[in-house]
Amino acid sequence: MPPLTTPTSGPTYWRSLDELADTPEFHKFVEGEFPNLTRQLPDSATRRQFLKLMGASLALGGMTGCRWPEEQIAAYANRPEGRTPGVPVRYATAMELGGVAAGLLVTSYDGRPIKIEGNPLHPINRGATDAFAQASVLELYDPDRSKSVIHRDGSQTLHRTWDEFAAFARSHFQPVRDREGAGLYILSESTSSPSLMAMRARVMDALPQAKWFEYEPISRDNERQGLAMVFRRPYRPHFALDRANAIVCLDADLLMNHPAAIKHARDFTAGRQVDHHGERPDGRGSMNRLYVVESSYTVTGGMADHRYPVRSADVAMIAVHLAAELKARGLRIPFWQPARGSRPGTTPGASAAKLDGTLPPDSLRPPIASIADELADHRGRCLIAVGPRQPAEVHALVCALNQALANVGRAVTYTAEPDPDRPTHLEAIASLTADLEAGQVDTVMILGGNPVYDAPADLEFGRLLASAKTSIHLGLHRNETSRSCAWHVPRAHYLETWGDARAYDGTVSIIQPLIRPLYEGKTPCEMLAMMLNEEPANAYDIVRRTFQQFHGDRDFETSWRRALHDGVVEDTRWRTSGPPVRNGTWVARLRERVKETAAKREEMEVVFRPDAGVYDGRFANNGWLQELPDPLTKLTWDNAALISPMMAEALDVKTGDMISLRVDGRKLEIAAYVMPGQAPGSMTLPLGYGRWAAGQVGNATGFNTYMLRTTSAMDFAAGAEVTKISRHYKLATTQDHHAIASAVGRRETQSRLGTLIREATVDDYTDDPEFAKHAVHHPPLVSLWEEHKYDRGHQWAMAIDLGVCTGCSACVLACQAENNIPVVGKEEVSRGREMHWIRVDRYFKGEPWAPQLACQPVTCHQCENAPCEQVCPVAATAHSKEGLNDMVYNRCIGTRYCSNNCPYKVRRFNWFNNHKDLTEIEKMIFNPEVTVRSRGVMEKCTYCVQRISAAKIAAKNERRTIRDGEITPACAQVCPTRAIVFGDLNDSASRVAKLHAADRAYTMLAELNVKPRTKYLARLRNPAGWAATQRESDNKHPT
Amino acid sequence: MPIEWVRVHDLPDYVYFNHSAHVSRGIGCKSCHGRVDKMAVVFQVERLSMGWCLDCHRDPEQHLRPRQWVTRMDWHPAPDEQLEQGKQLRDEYNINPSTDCSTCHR
Repeated sequence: MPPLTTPTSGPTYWRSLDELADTPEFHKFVEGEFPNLTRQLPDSATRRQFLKLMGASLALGGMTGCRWPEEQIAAYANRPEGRTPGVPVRYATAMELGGVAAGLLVTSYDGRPIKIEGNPLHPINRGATDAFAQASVLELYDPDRSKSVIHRDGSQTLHRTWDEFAAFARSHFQPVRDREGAGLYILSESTSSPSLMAMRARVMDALPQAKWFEYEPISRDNERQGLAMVFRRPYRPHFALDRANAIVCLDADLLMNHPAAIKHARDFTAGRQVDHHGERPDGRGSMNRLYVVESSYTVTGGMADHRYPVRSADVAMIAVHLAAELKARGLRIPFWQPARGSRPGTTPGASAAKLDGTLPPDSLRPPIASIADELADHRGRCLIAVGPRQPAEVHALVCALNQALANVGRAVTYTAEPDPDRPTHLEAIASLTADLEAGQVDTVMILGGNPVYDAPADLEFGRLLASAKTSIHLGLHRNETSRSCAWHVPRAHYLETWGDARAYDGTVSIIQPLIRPLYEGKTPCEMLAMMLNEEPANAYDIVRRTFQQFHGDRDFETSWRRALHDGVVEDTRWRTSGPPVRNGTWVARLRERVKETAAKREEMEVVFRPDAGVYDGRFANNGWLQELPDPLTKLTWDNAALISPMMAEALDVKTGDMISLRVDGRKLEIAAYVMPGQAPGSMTLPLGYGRWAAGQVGNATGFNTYMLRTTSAMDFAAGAEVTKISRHYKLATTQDHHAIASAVGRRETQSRLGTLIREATVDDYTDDPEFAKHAVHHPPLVSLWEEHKYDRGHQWAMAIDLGVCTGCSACVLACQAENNIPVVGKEEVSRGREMHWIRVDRYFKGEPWAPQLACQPVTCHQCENAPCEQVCPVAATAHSKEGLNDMVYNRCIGTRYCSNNCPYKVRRFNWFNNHKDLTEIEKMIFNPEVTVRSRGVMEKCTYCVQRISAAKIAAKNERRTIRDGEITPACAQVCPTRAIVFGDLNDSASRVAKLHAADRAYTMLAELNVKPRTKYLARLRNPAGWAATQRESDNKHPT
Repeated sequence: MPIEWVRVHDLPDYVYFNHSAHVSRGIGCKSCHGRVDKMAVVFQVERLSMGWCLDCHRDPEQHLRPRQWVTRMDWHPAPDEQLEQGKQLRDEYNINPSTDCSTCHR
């Protein structure tokens, strides 16, 4: 790769550093619409032979009859009330992840849950979900789930029945109960379940000597501790992004990696919608402005108007500096005193400069001062958020800042944390390990989780677990922890059993099953009931017992049915309270922390973060999540160390080169990924890969970064040493796939990309509201053929608002679940053969050390003059009267001409029968409304034509017209920001018709006259006024 | 032990057919399934091929009957009146069968 330090005259938008530097690798990749195909085709002689054979076998096959196999059906003897075979039903339920519930609505076909949607009545989800919830239905049907109780007895591993385990439990727990639980340890995942909390209370009541710990590798304990320092009791912050005109995120990924991210994303977009006067329709003034300070690009960083890449360790220093600047502007920050030597009343910046040893680099001082100006101007209408990996003291300071800015009770509110006395997750796992080492553990019961894999490496939990006399693990899979335990008990999936859980704001949802447990799994509550030998022993009765506390004065059955129907229990949201900052002990600790980190300023840091696909590793065996391109890196099937372009240059490392890391005496070899916008001196290590007992899908993918994660460095650690090793690792990214601008020349690429994705500042927009339409000038568009008229009936269309699309990629998985899209594996992805019908293109703009980011979801555009239709020799793709570009799989003969002729590169070809060899369990996930495609056929986005048909039939049966918004494609339904809007263009009152007529609307590649039905709304950025002059210096190389 | 039934009217997996759309628009059971009431063992009467489906989608007048009579096996129009009545019903029920591919294939 040519050096990046030389100013390039290259494209203003680019997808990868290879593209920016225009390397031969990039050229090689994009030649041909299905990269890497050419070398796989047999040479011409064998090809002829092949065709001859094919002809012969077709003739032979034709004689044996054309009828498909006879099908047997079993009819209902007694049909359940209201159930019609083949008609889907929806039930509300909830999924708990990391101790926070998501409210869901699950579609079930003839008893099989097949699709997850967000519950529209749920206060956080509001009809949308994240990618994890979408993929959780695949987890239910994972053939690698544990199917029976397993007992490890000496060297033997035996399958046991549930009765045998019950017999063991009866005899084993009798003496445990007799000695009041002495020597009994229970390790649970983080949970918000009122039932499990109640069971815990019963356990501690009956067995006071027992010990209960909770551990979760990804936790928000720092935040909890920080607010406990301030309020003398742990609190939980809540943000109303729609009420903030200035938002500052310090290493906080509010829009993606947060338990309330879906609500945040929706609220955030409320502040991004402005009319051509720059005014928000909700009357809250002008567009909000988002500042993000972070070490590695996040989805939130991608939406930022100003983003500053800094090491995670330096964020504390920046917070301190911001506090000083705010204080200099007359803010009264509780307990916060200027450091020694500074006098009050000095000019802004001067007092900050006096903070001993904490000065940020020169380049950051003006922006911090500007952020302080902005915040001071927006008192009561702004917010500052800190990410969970920042130390507790920083959370305390920011809490004080929000109070000083009068944001509390407005954009920032607090609720008291439940279970205030629990130890932190880190303390919990450390205590358990210490007791294991001391030999005090007689029985350890691990309720979910996988501490052998994800506990801090220095605790050596896996080794010490063997010193427990009896160990029992409840889990969905026989994972690393199960394999170290004497007993493994299969756990019921949330779609199989009863439970309850609380959302981030406290709202209780009942988890109701959609299907009976496939493998007789049990819930944590059932395990505890068995241990206590008490009734009720099944999950349903336990949850109903807990519900007694929620139904209040009303009749139990009525409120129970209501809660099941709505998916939320009324009046269970926690009351917000805004206590004043009561304590200042954190001030000294923060100063100490900043001094410490300042001393290590020159050291390389490693930063741990949950992966966007596999989270903490628990979803490693989920093929959908493995193949979901990371929103930022576009990596699939692997994690990699994200390093900055500067570091790559210094180490002479390219993406995919192996590097050796040494942190605090621990070593890890990992592939590097050169990430534009990564803070120099910081390296990001996504967690969750490199598992050895995940299952067929998840084993041996990526690198186990937990090996470097220790009790002293759960979030980030300085002092990392990096060396290059001369090995290369193949990473499968999708970032150069389906490149619209094939390599016809660099100039061409450059001139085109800016027209594919259009954006402007708010100021430019108010000056010229139609800027997006003026981006391309083309001659009048005349067709070779007489054009069809589409002025009657329904005319389906889509609008995608790039101004609010965060690139979170939930739409990719929603589409995969809805449309039976296969997983193809790492090899095929690296050949450019991933099958996703919707892709989210990610472009960088600007210089590699501090680029801007832009995302663009691309689906089939359903062109009216569809180029694909004109070249299909068998009319397998044809236009419908309603403007859909229909794809007829049973006609397709796989010439792939259509894909070749598609300017948007949205067609996908089945190179293999990707659904071959599926078990009966795996087949249960298929949506029966969508054909399962076989080898050799082309497929693509249909605008979810099955949903259109269903709505049309329902409306006609009821003798009415279709209402606007009644039809929602899967991608639009899941979208947290409602960036995708679908509807009827011929209905001038429909939202999509209005958006198509909006000033920001533009057509991608309009000059081709293909007349696509998808239009984009250009993105607006809202840089601060000083940014115009600042931009020059931003773009200077930081060295 | 459930009784296993043999599916007689079995469409290929890539074809989607919705009963409610047809029944509520005045297509009688008999039009596709024949006189099931007179069969000792049910057998397939019609071809159920794409051409056969399209014939009706293009000229539904040939088969429409008043909605209340869709389940009547022995219903038949007065001699020579099917076309006339079919046209009337088509207008009344606002029936415009689609011949787009995605109507049945998706």
